[in-house]
Amino acid sequence: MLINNLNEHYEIIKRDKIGIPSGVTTLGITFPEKVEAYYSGRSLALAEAALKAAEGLYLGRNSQSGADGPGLDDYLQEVNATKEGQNLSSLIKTQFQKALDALSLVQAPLSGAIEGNNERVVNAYNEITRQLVNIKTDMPSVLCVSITYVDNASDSD
Amino acid sequence: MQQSNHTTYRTIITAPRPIAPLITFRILFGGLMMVGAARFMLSGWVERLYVEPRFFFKFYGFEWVEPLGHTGMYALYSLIAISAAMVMLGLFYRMAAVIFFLSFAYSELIDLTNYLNHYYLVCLLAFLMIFLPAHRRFSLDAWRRPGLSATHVPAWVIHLLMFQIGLVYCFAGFAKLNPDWLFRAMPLAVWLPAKADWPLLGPLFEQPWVAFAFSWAGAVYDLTIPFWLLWRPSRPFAYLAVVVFHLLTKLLFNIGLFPFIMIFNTLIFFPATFHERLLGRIGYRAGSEPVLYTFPAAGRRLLRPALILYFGFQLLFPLRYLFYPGDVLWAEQGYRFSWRVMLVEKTGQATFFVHDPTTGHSAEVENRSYLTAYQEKQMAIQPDMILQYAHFLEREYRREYGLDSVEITVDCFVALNGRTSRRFIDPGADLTKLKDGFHHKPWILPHFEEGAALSTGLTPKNDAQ
Repeated sequence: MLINNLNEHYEIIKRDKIGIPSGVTTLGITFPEKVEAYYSGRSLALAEAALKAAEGLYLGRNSQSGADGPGLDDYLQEVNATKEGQNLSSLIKTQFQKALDALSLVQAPLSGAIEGNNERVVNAYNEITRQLVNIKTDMPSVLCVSITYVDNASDSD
Repeated sequence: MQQSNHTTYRTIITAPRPIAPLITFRILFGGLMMVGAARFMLSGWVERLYVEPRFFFKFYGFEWVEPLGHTGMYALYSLIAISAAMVMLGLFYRMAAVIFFLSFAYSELIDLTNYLNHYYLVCLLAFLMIFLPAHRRFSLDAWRRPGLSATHVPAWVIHLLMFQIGLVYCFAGFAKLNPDWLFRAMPLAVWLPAKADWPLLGPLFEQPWVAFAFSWAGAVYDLTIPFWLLWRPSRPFAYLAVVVFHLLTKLLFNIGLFPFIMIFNTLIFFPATFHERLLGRIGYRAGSEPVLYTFPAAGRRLLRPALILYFGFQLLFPLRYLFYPGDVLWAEQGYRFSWRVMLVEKTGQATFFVHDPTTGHSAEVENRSYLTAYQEKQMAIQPDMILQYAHFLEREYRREYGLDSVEITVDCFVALNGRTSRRFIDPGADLTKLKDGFHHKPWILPHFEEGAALSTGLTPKNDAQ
């Protein structure tokens, strides 16, 4: 459940908060007016907060003290999952940091950045996207969790 | 020697056998299929699988099969249910059997996404039923026209069904003899712990040895059950095993009517006296004057080549995977129509990129705009569906953006049986230039590097520390 909702949340950051406005789905045609909370100019802060929330959940971060607690990273550590020779737990942690770094290079407001310097937005999008395979395919696979928010119609055999 | 060969041939093919096993088969098969079609309509799957999708994945060679729309699909499913009921009752049997086969096969050919081995089995059995004289006793046809009634049929009629069912078990068992199934208890080690909340048995499902026990027992069961069913002394125990095995799979997994198909069908291995007693409870009479059903002369001449052709295909087609390099569970070249059941826990994600070479612009595709969740999930792990979808995207983008030429690539990662993911498709391959077919597809990347065939992605804890 937790992993399913984490992924659903993460895909919303990727697609709705960054992807669609920056035009990655529309052959480079950008839609700066499609950012979240366009008129308030807070879209970038909201995207960053959402990404931090995903990271916090993964690390089991205490929202008051900011210290890392037991989280999904510890589960991955426990089963000692590796991906292409690297430790999956720290791979995901590093990727969260890379995504946040890339996002911090974008200048607020997001709509302005898309019109002015979209390259940085697209770069942030790519870093965010790179994480998806780790948390949506690898993590569930090694933790034996099935992704169910893509619902399962019909039977299997 | 000549004499004994002749006797064997006679026992298997031409000797008269009481018709009762065939009657049980007809009633249970027709009844179950009627229930199955009704269940499909009542659960809303007709809408979800045949009305909601915008795009349908075609079967190779059956690209002309189209969905029939909302009303049309319900009409088709009603036709399946009605013809199945007519098969059960033996009413206008031949026509009903033909209609059932055609309508069922058509509905299954609409979308590759929904392919299941047991639907394929139903298609094959339905096809065989067309040619069998299953309405010649205890049927509305025989009641309407008593002249049709027969008490005996040539032995091959019964053996044909036994052979088909035995073949499915043997191939399914043979497919289980792979390293993941035998030595990692995969995918059962993923699926069983999910049922740890069961009363009594629950805690057992979390034990690794239980997954291994289930895996090995399942492989032995599939490989040998037809023989235990054939041998008279072991038959009652074997049938008990059939019932327990399939009911357990019914409770553990979401496999629909398949367990009942097998529990009912394997009754064909029982002798006629058993069936006569069973059917006797609902008014069946074996008949005092033996009347042997004989096939028309033309049918008798065609019988031998037809049987050789049919079972030659059944024996060889599932083996086609041997002609492809790599792991059939990973690349799925030669995977379907081969009785590979419950063998993989496979998840993946596929992100498609459309590139316009004239302007240099690129776009990432939002799969959900074109596919249902279930279609997307199935597509991401099956190469031929990835290719078909890319070709569809090519048409869509040409139309939507008025592009002259389009290149499409995919970032696709797949995780198999509890491992971490690996890249599945060559990210440099322009999918619009590739064609589907029976040839080897070099753009499917191998599962393992050379020489690392048993790597699991999970290293034992001690080694790492």
